[in-house]
Amino acid sequence: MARTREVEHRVDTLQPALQPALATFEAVVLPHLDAAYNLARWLARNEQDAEDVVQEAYLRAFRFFDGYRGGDGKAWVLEIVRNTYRSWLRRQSRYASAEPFDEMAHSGDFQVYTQEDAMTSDEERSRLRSCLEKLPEEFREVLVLRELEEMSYREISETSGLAIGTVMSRLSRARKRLEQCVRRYQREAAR
Amino acid sequence: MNCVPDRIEAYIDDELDAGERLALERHLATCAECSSIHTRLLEQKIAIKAAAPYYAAPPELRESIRTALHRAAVAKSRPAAQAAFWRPLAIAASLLLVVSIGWNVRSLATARPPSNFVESLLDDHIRSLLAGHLVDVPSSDQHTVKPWFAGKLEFSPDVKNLDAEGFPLVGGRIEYIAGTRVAALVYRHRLHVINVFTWPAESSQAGPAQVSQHGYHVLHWTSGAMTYWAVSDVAMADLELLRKLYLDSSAQ
Repeated sequence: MARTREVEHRVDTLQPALQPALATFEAVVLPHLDAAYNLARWLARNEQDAEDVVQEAYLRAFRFFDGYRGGDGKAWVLEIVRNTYRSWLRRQSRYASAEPFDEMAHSGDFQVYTQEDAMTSDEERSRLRSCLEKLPEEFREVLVLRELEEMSYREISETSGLAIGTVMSRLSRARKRLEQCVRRYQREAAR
Repeated sequence: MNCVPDRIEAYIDDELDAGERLALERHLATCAECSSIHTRLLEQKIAIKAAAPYYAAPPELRESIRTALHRAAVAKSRPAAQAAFWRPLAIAASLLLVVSIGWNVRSLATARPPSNFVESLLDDHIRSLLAGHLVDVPSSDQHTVKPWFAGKLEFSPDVKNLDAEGFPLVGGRIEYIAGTRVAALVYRHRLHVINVFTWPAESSQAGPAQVSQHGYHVLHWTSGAMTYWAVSDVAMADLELLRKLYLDSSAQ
């Protein structure tokens, strides 16, 4: 708490010229915080790591803000989130051997269901979600950007640094793999 | 029109222009195969939206980011705010900076470009200020911190408690810098945090070097076989004092 008060106090002492800079940054970049967190959460697949990545990405974005030349703020922020995630991942894998993906912890919740109909559709949903979480990262990323962020091919290309043709083929492969995974689940369930 | 599944994907992704859309819709009406691909893709799209949660940022994250941004902005503004009092010093410092950048280019040319290296030190420093990231071993006792590094690093860092001199030890953690696992020793000076990154120097690097960037200061020195990089938003003079304390206590 003491730290917060100290910061507030020091904000008042900001150079007048810097207040608009910070205000501009906040106006351009903070509205995309949900998108930034959503992407980080889908990439890192857990809350704590997603928060770390987004915090770091926002500080980086602030430092690089001089280099922002208008245009699509969302694609710009998500590009930084994506790159921050990549370097975060590299650091993690150097500290410890990468933790294997814990399927139990990520398999969605199979709670108690009251109606049989509801159970079927809930199960289908959690199957699909689990398949999406298990997709290799490069496929998961384009699907999240396309289907959850509803970004255009051009915007996905800006964010990911991939050519538009590559975005299209990757998206297409991601959809096929997702479908295969769901089918596999259905076959297992039918047995 | 022939069957082109990727056109169908572009269609459901709303990436076709009006003419292309019309042509594809006509084709879908007559081609059972494409029509079933279209249905499947559309169902999947709807299913993803229904099944995949959109994770909104937690309110605490928004708050802590705003706090961190304000702190970063204050750090950015500080050198300018002090310019009036420190102008003669600032001119001298900037001359020194030019010299030290030249020095950096030479000494780090073998490892990686100096700006990237200093950037990565600054990144690590800023990241350490975020809640819960400062130390892996919180202790003001050098006899607790030093053994903690044993087994985690191939070297044993020289950990000093400089509490009496105004630099209380907060603890330590491990960082990854320029391709090496290094020890980060954390000190406080008044309300500021100082990270001292240390590892065995690959070659004999002579002389101190300093860099100031975005309101942060970086001071480098070597002692014995170890290299040290101190990073903080305290004045460069405070970092110089820390370096002196380090060197003096090593000499004893």
